[in-house]
Amino acid sequence: MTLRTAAHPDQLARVIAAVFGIPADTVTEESRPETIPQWDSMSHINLVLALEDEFGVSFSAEDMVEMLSVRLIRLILAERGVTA
Amino acid sequence: MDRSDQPHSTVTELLSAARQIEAGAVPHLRVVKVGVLSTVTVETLRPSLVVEGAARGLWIRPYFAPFNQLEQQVFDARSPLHACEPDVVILAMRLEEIAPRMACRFLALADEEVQRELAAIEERLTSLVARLRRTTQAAILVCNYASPTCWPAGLADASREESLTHAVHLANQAVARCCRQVPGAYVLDYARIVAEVGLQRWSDPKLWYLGRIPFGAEAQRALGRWLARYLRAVCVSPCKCLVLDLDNTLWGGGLGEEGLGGIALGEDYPGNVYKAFQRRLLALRDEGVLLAAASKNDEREVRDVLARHPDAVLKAEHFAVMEIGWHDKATSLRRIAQQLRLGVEALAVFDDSAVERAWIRSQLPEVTVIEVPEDPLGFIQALEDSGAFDRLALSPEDLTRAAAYQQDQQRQRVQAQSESVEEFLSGLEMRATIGCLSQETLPRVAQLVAKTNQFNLTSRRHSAQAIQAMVDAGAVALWLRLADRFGDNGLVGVAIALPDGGPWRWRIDTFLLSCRVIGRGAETALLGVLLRRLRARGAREVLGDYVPTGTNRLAATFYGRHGFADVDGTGRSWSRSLGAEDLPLTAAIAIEASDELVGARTPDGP
Repeated sequence: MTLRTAAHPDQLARVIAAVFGIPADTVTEESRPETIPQWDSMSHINLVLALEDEFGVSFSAEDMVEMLSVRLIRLILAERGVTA
Repeated sequence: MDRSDQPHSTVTELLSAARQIEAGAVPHLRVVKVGVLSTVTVETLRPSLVVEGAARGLWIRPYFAPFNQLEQQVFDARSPLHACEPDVVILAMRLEEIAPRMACRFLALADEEVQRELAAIEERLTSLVARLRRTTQAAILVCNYASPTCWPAGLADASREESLTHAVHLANQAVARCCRQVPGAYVLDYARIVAEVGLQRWSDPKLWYLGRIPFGAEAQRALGRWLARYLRAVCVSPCKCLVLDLDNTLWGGGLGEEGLGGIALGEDYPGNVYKAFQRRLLALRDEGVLLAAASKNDEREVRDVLARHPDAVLKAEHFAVMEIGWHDKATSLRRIAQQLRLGVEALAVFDDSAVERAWIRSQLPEVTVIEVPEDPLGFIQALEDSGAFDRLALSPEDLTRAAAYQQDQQRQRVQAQSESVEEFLSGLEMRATIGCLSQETLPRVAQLVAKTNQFNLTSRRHSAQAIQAMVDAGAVALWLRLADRFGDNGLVGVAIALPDGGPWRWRIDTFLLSCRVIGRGAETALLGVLLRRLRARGAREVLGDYVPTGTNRLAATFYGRHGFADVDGTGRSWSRSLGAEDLPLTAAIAIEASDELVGARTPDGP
């Protein structure tokens, strides 16, 4: 598996911020649907599509169910060879 | 407006752009409220729909009903769908949900059972659309059905007489039939959109299994773009004339330098690219789009190519106007519009030169300037993607428009030879037919109401469904067709009058003539028959409005010329009493109208 490196360590935070329309500095490793009101089931879909698009990966349905915090998303991306 | 506008915008860019548009960041957008009812989850279309809408001048405000709420939303007058007062309702049903046995277990069904399923979904759709028509004035867009992914007999399927493919075809014919029967209802060609993207690429399984969303990221982009195109077509009149550059647009190379034998136009590359583009343009003319040429060239050389080049698909007679010379393009466009009696906003331009396109945009911002790619291989797609000629229905007049303009040029030659206007008009041997609005004539009447600019007294842009509602409420709505010795001009006049406070007083809400027949006295014929009709309905007084729009000045004197008095001296409110006196008619036009219309023996009183 090729190891891809994100252009900037905060790229994940910036994508999440852009998807939910919130300032990037409010996104922490512990951010999750309970802490970001905009993170509902419909915007979760947008988040998944945005992450696939930004990092050039393809998630499974399992990934999609499990990516319920920034930390978990970072772990799932790492499994796909992306250091975000 | 076309794909090249957002070549590779990322999902996050799309979401940010949609959020800004929804916050009101883009000025001068036209608000369109859209209610979407579907058997699946469609809400994820929102960002691409909003962004594609804004690229077309629309602020699309969608309401997405929860999936599978169709009857609940349509039949309940207090449903969220009705509460949002939509301008457009989109019905998106899929065979997988509404006819699951047919879509998934086709081979298990006997032929009669397939027929029963087809009849059941047609009945369901017809009842939804009929109820929507009664409860809302919204335009109704009904998605037809894409082929289900299930392929019942596999490789053998296409050889079978009773295949799923055939059943889907029958179901789609039923959708079209249903829409044709209901004013303001149109098919949204979902099957075509899926085919354009590709059945395999259409879906993303995880979105389907987790979110009941049948389309993946790419499909959502494509669908948003297509839906926005349909919504624009609901709101915006199509361009009427495509003005073409010649050198490097209709053929490769410059005619002045290369000469007839040197330009690229033929059966081999690169000439075949230009020849294919010419064929596409001729097909566009069949749709009713007028073609014109604006080119900096020597006119004699151009005419020589059109007449003598063996691979010239487009001939001189296919162009409604040619402006070949050394004027700047904006001047040429103004002249073309003037000769065709169109506003410049009815023109679209296809010109390979970015400099000319920029000049036209700066001089005539109302003109639709199509973005043309460098590579002529992209010309046809650029023309399609522009949406400049998008319309939801084709009328018989569209199909004969280009020929009608050719006849008009013959008329103009006769006019030039005539001693007087009277001699010219009587020489035309005009015959007008006037009748009451019907289901058959409503689409064309609505089309004229939507787009007539010059001879239009009020320019009120009623939709087809609004016109039908006026008639249902007691309005008199008449149409006029005009034929002469050069041909049939088709349905070219509309008059709609409403009772105003009682049957003794009527107000002319709408009175218009297509620019095809201005100056031939047809307006007098139509008014004469309308006044007789109103008198038979009990009218003693008829009121008329003139609403100036900047383009309808030639209608300003209409009421004054026909015995109406200017009520307040502004020239905007007119009134005429209706006694037993003769009503205006014109000598040059023979009128064919039913007895019922002419008045004396009308069966229905006020």
